[in-house]
Amino acid sequence: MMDLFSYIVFFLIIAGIYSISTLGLNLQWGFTGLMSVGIVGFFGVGAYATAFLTGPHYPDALGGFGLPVPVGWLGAMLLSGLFALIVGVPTIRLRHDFLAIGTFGIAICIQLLAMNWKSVTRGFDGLFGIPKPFAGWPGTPLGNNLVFLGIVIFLVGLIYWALERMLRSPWGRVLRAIREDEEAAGALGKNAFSFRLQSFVLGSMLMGLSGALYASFTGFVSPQDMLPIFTFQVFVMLIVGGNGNNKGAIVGSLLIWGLWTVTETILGAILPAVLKNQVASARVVLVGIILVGMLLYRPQGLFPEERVVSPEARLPEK
Amino acid sequence: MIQVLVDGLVAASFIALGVIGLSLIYNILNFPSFAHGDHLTIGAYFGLVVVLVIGTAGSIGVLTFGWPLIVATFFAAILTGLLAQILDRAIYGQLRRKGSSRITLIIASFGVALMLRHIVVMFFGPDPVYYSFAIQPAIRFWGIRITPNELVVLGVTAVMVVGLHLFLSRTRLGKAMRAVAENPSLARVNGIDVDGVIRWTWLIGAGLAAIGGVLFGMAIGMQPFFGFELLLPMFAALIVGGMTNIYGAILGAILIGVAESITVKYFAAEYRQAVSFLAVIVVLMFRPQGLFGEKE
Amino acid sequence: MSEQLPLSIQDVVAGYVPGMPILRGVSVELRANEIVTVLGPNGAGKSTMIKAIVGLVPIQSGKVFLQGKDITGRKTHLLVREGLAYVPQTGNVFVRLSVQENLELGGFAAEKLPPDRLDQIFTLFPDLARFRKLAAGKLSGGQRQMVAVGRALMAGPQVLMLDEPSAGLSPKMTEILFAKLIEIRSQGIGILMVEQNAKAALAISDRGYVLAEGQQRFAGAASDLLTSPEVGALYLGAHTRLAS
Repeated sequence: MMDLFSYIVFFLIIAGIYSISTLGLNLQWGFTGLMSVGIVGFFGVGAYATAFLTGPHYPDALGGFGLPVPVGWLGAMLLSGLFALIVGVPTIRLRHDFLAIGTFGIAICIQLLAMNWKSVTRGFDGLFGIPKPFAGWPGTPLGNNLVFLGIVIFLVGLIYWALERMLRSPWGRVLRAIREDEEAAGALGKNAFSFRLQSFVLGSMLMGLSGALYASFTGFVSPQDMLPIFTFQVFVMLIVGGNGNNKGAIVGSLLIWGLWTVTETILGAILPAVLKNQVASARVVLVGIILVGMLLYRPQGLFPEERVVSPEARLPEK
Repeated sequence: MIQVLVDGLVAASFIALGVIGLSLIYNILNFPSFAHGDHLTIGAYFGLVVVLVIGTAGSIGVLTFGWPLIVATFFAAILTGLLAQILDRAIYGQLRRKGSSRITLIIASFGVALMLRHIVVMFFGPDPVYYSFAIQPAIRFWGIRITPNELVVLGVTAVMVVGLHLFLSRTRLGKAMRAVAENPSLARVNGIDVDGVIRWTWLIGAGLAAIGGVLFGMAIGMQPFFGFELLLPMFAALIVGGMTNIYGAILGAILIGVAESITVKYFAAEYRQAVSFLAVIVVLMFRPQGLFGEKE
Repeated sequence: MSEQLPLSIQDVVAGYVPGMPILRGVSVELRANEIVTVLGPNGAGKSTMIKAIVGLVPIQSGKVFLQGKDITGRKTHLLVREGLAYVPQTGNVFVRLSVQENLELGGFAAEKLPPDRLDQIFTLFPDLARFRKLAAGKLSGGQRQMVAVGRALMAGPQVLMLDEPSAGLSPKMTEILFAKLIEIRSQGIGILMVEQNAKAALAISDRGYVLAEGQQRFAGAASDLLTSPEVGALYLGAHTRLAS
């Protein structure tokens, strides 16, 4: 019973961490119509930044600053934002394709750095011993995980609240106007560029934060945590939940992470014995089919976007 | 120095055979397909299936392959082209008809890419495989070292590029494809069957990718992720060449290939893909229409 | 008898959104050896009418006959073979293809292309022969319009439809182009065009129709429309070439 409870706590923490990335993608794609195909890159930057800033002294890698965990998380967000600027500035003023290709490219480069810049990242050996917030309190691992879960739920709630507020503000209204009409947005010129860039950078910072939480929770980060499969999972989470709907982003993350974890068991049970080693791949194919099926038959997701009118949005009466 | 150039051209060959299809699909179907790298992978593994069925890749003279691999290439091109058509009919075509956005098509192609890759892993495992384990000594002339297999890669790629040029400039279908790429509704008004052109685009684009994949497998060997690793260089070539210019994309492939081989030789082999990212950022920053593209 | 006419549309209702038609029941006839102009203020549904005929806008009810054959809802790319050619208002040449390639594409759909067809086009538009190797995007607006019309004629149509052929052309260029249309009619090709430049268009037309709000307001001989006070009040006097 206790095991099951521990497992649920663990499950909810990971799902919550995913949902922060999904909320970030929702800000970019759902609210602004910007496509990031490199979610895992910003997640990875956040994870490594946390390791560098809060982790122990590594004799053969960057680190040893020993900063408090919240400072590490803030640093993670800032560094992810910086990487977002590198790719966003040249691509966002162009057609959508270029941002997709650019983010895809930067994610690959970030993974290359993680794998090969060994004097900083220790390569595939990864960085370990990243401290958890309130480590050792209140005594048991389960207790500490509960504290961590509390932090994750608080952050998800805070981000949800902030995003909903922003969505209803004039700022959010401009974002949606830009999304609806790429052409008209072009006519807004520099202004539209700046709004899009803000949304893209902010979304990428959320992805960075989710990477930071992941590193602090697991205490370990390596290039293995930065596979394109993560980007794919977040896509599916948002599409299943409902692109453009923050509630959907959170529910989609829970559902897909749940599916992802139970399919291992289910596929393991239904696949013939010779295919046991193929379970991991079969799971990708299965989730891929769900993705394509959703795009084809329910592109609005389980929670379609709500029509939002901000109080300030009414046209002045003549 | 000249050795770096030759190595670069060999690397460029695989990128070029891939970018042709990527460019055709981008211009005719109007989205960058993230599954195109995996068409090379699928092609190489279709080739492997044929080689396994025949039992050997054969050999001709100093080459480590013979007629079985030639037959395999043919089958790989056809099967990959048909698979691409099926995927279009089942997925992309449906999305087009529903009026889905370009972003939706990008996401769908990203999903298809992962599925194709993992289907390959399911059947063949994640480890490298080869058509033949024969060892081939390099030949030397004018101070260049190159294996006979690599010479075949260069030769086949050159023939394909010239063939593509003749196809696009001389044949009815080629001209129809250029017309649809530029203005699909005017093409339709002209009596061109746009859906038919789209079917041919997948067949030709994925077929050439498959040939590139088999060549890669023949010269280097294959694992399920090799095509995916070629995707970023292909996109870089497309951007460097100016998205709408297929010849520019082929020149872009040569530039990227040579830049990669310079990186491998003088900097670090591990970062060869980073060259592509730098090229994308620099070109988009300073000349978004590409080096060989015209301003719209 | 509508069956004998080169082109006739009967009570056509068309629009992109079901229940919200742009064209609300229009009938137009094109008789043998005629130039017919369809006039109307912006948003009257003129372009929609032409696009509905060629299958680019869905027809919700009504019929379209070409040489007596029902072609309602036929796929766009199949109509060229039936003898119906169409020159859109904008984007009507392939700018990256050469003039000659543009013309060749026009002939793609024809089942059997007479070997001298290209020469016939070059006889009609001698300028094009000089620029045959040039990318069509490099030509002037007037020359492009010649390419577009030449391309439409390549497949040997019985009916030629033009959407605002004079848009963006100088008065001089319009005059030259319209003179060519008279020449084309003399070869037995019926012409149906939509125009804003009412006076110039009616001057070369046999008959005309006036649409407003998706319905027909007037129809008659071109000369009658030119002098009709109602048409003048509704349209000719207030005509503007700025929009569209």
